Amino acid sequence: MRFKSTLLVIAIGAGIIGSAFAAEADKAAWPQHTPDGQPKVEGFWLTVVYGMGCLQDPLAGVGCLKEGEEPGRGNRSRPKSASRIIDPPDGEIPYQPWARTKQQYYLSNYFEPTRPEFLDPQQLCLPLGPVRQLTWHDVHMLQYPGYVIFEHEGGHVFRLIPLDNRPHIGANLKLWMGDSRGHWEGNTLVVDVANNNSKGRLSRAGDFADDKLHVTERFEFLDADHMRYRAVFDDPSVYTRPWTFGFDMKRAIFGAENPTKDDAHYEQWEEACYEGMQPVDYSLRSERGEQK
Amino acid sequence: MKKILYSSILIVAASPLFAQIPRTADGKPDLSGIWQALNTANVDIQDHAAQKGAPAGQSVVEGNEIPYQPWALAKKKDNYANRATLDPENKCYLPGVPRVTYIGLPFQIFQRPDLVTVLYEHAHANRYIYTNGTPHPKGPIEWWMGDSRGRWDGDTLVVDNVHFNDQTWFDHAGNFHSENLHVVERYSLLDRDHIDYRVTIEDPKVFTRPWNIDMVLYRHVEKNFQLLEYECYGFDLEQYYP
Amino acid sequence: MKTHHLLLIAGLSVAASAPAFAHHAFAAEYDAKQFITVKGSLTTVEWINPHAWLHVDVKDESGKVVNWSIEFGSPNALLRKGLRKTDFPPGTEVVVEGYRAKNGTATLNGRSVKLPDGRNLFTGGSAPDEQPQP
Repeated sequence: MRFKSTLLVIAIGAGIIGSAFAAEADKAAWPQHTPDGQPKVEGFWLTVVYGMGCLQDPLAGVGCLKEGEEPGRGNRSRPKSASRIIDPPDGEIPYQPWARTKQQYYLSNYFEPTRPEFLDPQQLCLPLGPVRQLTWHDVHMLQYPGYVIFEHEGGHVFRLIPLDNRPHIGANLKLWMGDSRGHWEGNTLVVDVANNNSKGRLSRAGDFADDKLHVTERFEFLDADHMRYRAVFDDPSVYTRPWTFGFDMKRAIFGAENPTKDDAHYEQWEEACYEGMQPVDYSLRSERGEQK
Repeated sequence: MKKILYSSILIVAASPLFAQIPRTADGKPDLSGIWQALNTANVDIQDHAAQKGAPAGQSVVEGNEIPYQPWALAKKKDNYANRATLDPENKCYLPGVPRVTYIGLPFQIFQRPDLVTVLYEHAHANRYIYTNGTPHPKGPIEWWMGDSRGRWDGDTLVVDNVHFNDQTWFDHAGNFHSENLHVVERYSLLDRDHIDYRVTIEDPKVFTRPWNIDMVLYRHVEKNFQLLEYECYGFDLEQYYP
Repeated sequence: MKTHHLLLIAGLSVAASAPAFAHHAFAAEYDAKQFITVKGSLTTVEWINPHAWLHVDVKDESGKVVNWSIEFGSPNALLRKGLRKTDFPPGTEVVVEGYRAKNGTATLNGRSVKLPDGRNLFTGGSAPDEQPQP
């Protein structure tokens, strides 16, 4: 009898200690994994610093213009925010000379656009390409067996990333969001993006690539709420060398007035875009600067 | 007794459903994959002869009759006469439900116990079909693609859709609805590569009673088939970029 | 749009409902230098994606009534706060602030709406590049 109760006490004690360890293990066990073995990163992600007007200083206005120049957006008195151009070290896109001229041409016509090519594609609700789309609105990352899906809030643009190493589609088939192929290396999602039509441009300042662009992305998930993004841009017909586009992202929790981390009730609701657009002409100026 | 038992087993084993359909780990029919409708319902959901640019087709409307109220029938006829300018699809607007299913392009279903996500090649439309027991948000709400909540009824995925605006058509023939539209979809696997897609349409502002659409969805089995893009809104604009 | 903020896991926590972002060419349609106020009564309300619209009957100086159209951003931000279009019945007196259309019509890009009970709704127009507030 006594032996049995001793055993019982030991069993209960072991159970308590065991479950305490288990709880600690749960708290420490990031990341959890999906049924097909992917690190679980699902949820809503957003750039830490928001802005599309100037890649070198995302919080600045369009074209990173200095105080006193064109009508400003952004706050001139604050210090420069971190460039999205991680490499080369000077923080500038290594354009070939003709491409630099073209970028400056687009920028100089941004504020008084007289032709459709001077309108930034984002203003027309067009898909922005795989990289730039990450910088406009939040992205809902979903994971299903064999896939990562990016469902971007802006204009319901999506990107499908199969994880099975199938070949890319034919090289002459160009897509707004490119053709993605991914795989996990530890907690980093590595994605190869080919077939880019590059029509979404790279910023409001006229930065661009062309349809020879090849992008290699690394989404490095640092912990449950932080991710470091790096994308190598390779386009030998536009740039003098490959360069790296990078920024940090954070998990965003939206919800009711005081959302908590456990608030699972947020849903991505429909954000139609071009259904409300005016005709393109409405945004253009006549040559004399008047609205058409 | 044994004879009855053996023949029952034979009957069950011979039934297509038992033998053929893939299932997920939680025992539900697995709808995952790329699907497409193979009909001309997008032109006209009722019987229609061929016209310039569009083939003939047999009705996907059960009974071939859409029970319009008298005022609504007049409006439908007016829509039809002016469809070349009035069809919202002319401007590449989101097509609503169920038109997005048979608009003529493939779509991919992703399935998990808590969420079925459907991505459509047409204008990169997407739908979240929440199968996590959550209710519709409280109305009135007006979205192009409505709000979708699903549950399993045996081997059928039943999806309840409300919160539509009145801006979409069911087809190019001018069949329309109000913001009171209520759509119930039923997806059942006939076998591994075919879904029976049955839809009940209800709108007391426009119709005198509910009515049904029924069609088959076909699985894409080509090697390396994938969704591409149909950025119809960009067709006139893309010449200006990059 | 100042009403809506993000909860940042990294530490700064401010009440958040939904992300607030700019859409498309604001400056091309509305004049950032003409920020005006109109007072009147609601005639109709359109809560549609991507832009909600309020229509307001406003008496001008001569007593003539002009119907103003005021454009806002996505209604989803208001929907998430529990507001529905039925909360804004015709006849409701409102005070609306916004940027006037460059073409001189009775059209505003709305920035705020004040209701008779004192509530001030930043319903969010399609304003120039705005960042989510930390």
